[in-house]
Amino acid sequence: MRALIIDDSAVMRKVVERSLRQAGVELTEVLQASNGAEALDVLRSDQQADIPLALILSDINMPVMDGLQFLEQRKFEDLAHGVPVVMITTEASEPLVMRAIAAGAKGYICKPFTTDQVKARVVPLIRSVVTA
Amino acid sequence: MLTTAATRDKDSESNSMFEHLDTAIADVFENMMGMTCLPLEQQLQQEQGMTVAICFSGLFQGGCTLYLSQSAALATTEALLGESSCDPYDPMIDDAVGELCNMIVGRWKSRLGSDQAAAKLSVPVTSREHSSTHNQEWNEGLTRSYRFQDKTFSIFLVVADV
Repeated sequence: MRALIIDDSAVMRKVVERSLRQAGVELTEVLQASNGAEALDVLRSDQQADIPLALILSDINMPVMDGLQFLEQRKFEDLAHGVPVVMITTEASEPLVMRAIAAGAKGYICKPFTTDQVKARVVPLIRSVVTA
Repeated sequence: MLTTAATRDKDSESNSMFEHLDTAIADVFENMMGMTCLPLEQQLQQEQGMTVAICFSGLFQGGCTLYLSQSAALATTEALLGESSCDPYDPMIDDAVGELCNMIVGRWKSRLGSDQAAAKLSVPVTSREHSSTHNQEWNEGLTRSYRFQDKTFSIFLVVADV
């Protein structure tokens, strides 16, 4: 399975990847971006990939382009259509969560998180994509 | 009498902030690193090491500075990544302590109430010198020290009147 992890912290990108693997997600390739603008570039150049992305995990608070702007622009350009996006962030206020859901996020994980939380919120989304 | 009541209210507010900070730090260390981290009775003077500062803005304003020794910074980085890093000047250490501070402040403010939870956090600013970057107009802050394994660190927290 291929996934895209978006976070301005290289440490957090590694932590998220490790948590996915510990949660039993079989990752064959992990694409990375350090902000929303980079992530859009990754999605644009990945449109012809033989194996499509199955999951996107994104932070919200990032320089250049934040996670919410990324969601809105991705929707506007119709990139990675049908690929679930899960927000992983310390910013967990209700208005922000509602904005992220309205912009297309399918799930929300608050930092700090456990592997069990990652498993509970990510694995069902991957299953729903695979069986769709 | 008014002064006593006001002092009591301020003490109660400080105790509540400390309780939420203790819980936030315990959650971050337990969930992300599988370690126990507990508050110390005494405030420690941290040896030369690293400083991370984060400001919060909105209806709730202030800042948090995390002071930790080089060895504490290295230990948290290794625990977060699940691998050892021998180079004390590895930029991943700066990144890791910035994220540590970000998670602590985020967790702490989310426990305080909806106005506080909605406050926006700045990007963490990490320095390898002990220095304060806080706005001088802010009220007197709270300092607390913590221990994990055989390492210690301190946190300075300040909330401004809005």
